[in-house]
Amino acid sequence: MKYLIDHTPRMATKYFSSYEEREESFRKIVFSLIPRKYSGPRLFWSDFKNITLDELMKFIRQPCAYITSNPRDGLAFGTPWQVLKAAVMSARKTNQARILSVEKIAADYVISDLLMQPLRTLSGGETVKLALAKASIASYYSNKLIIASPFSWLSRENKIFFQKLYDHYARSEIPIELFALEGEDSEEPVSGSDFQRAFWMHTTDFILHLKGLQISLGSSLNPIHSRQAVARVEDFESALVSPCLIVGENGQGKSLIAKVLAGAIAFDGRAEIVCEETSGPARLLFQDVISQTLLRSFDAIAATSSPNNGLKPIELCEAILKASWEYATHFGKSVEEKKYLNSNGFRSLLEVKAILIAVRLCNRPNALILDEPDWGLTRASAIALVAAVIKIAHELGTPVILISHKPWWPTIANSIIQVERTPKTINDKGGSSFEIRLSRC
Amino acid sequence: MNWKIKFIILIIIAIPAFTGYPISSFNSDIVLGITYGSVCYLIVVHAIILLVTGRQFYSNIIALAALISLPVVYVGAGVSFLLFILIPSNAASPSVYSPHYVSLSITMLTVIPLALSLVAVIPFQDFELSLMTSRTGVSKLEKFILMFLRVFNHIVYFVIPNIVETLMEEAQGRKWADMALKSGSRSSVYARIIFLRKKINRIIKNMIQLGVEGICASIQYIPLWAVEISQLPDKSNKIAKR
Repeated sequence: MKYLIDHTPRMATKYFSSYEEREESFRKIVFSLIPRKYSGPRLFWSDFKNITLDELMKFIRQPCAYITSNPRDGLAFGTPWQVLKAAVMSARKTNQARILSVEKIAADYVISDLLMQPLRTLSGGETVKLALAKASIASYYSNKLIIASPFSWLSRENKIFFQKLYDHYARSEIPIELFALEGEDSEEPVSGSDFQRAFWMHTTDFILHLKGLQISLGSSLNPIHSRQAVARVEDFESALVSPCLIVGENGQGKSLIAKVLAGAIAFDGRAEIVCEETSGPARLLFQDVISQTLLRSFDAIAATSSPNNGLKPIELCEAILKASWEYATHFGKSVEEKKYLNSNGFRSLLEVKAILIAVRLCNRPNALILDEPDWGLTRASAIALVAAVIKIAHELGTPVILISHKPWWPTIANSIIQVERTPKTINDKGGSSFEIRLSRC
Repeated sequence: MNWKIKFIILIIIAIPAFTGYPISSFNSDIVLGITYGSVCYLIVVHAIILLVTGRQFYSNIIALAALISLPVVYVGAGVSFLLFILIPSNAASPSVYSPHYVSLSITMLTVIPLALSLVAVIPFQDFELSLMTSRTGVSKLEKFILMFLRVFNHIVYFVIPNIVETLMEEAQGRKWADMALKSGSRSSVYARIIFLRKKINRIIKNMIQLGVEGICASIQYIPLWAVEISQLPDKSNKIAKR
């Protein structure tokens, strides 16, 4: 199949109604090399066995450029420089790729200052830019380009890089297949009719307070090797109204702030949320919820909560899913069926998100932070889930903070914070630092 | 300080741990099981580790060493005591095994931080980088080393930090819930026992789950890395062609 330059990415995209369906379909095409972790240890081991016995050889015979739904999964080395260097070395085996250089490709995708940074410390958007750069080099030795969730990770400002890669493959007449979730590529803000403010009449006030914040990034081994990367956050104090939205382009430090507020990473200084109606610490739903489950089953996740106020995680989860379903019906859009079970009997990503949120809400935290809540969900499911969570959290007196680079959410937020960071400065010892600034919009 | 100098310093201070010299020369007991030599060696080792690795890393390895040592020592002593209660005729009495466990705890608190520091000062990330600086290709041996380093670095810089982040986030909520539960059950001894039992059960379940997650997360990308590394051009082929 030949692609013409005037083809748009939409024309090469297959849309799916759930994360599980899309992953299944993506795996069939790529001979996926990564065992599925979202469905528990049993399926993981079965996948691992199949891959090592069979799929590995198929893949080697039919090389294709690919970006997985979690783009970090497809990057095989520790730093962006190594990822690009490996791709360049592989590409140089072909005669037409002699002129390729890591620096040039990095400059093309505006990741030059990230080249030596550990992959784990890259933001979601930066990781996608790196994956796109790698896929661009891979065009010299691949017979196909396959991407899962190409529209989900990039902020509007960074979408040009995806278009650049798409055009490159289209010009080279290499087939492209894109796997997306329904509505994932929508740029439209959630409309007022979708989100009736009446659904959450009793909003919740809270104060966000950051003072003298300094965060060491990466592993605790970094300081020994003088590679310490440090982020400083400018002091910030503001009274906010829930739902609060933290916005910013890819790589500005939104997730870092969320992790600090939830105590998921060590930091110096003070970071707190004060809410009169609740007293527990702020809790966070990571963007990568699959890692956050730590391979625990639905019931094992529910058991991680120690509620002392009569709230039960399973019941709260049911309430979230029920409210999601009601909102979805109200909006007149389809949403993943409650109790969706795939062929192996595992719970859907929507349900996993719901139980992780329920466990957190059980302790009535000072705030519930949802980092990119739409990841892995269709637009309809994401909107319905967020609406349901806001309603239930507000009933419990818990403020909700959404973190997103997508243009969907500003219309539903009662307060908005913009996050921006300064360019990175490198010191003599190879360490680096930058400053993050928060401001009210 | 260069990593090689750090490594040499740590190797030098590790010599007494392997040879026993000069610790064994100062073998008079402070209390039964603890000699002047072992205590002095413990202090010297910790001072040098602090100097070489820095305050931040030192506090982490102390926590880790305590986490590994204390269960081993306490469970060991507990089992010995249980045997003594059940079969007093055949098992050693507490006066016999106590010095052994006291000595064991001092040894573990010395050796574990030293071993961890020795591994930590080696810049495995830099080795991985240097293996790919060649313009021509990567030899077969280098590919094997690259694969080994990839797995090691992935565990140290990716798997462990990810698990720690998740656990720290969960610990915030759990700590708060436990505090509330504890204060609510202050009056009842039975409730406290139930609380403790639940806590121990939860720790055991979490340890098992962490083991499964740790193993799966560590090996998850091995097939992918195998393909990516095998695709690198072979240095020897290139030379042979020329």
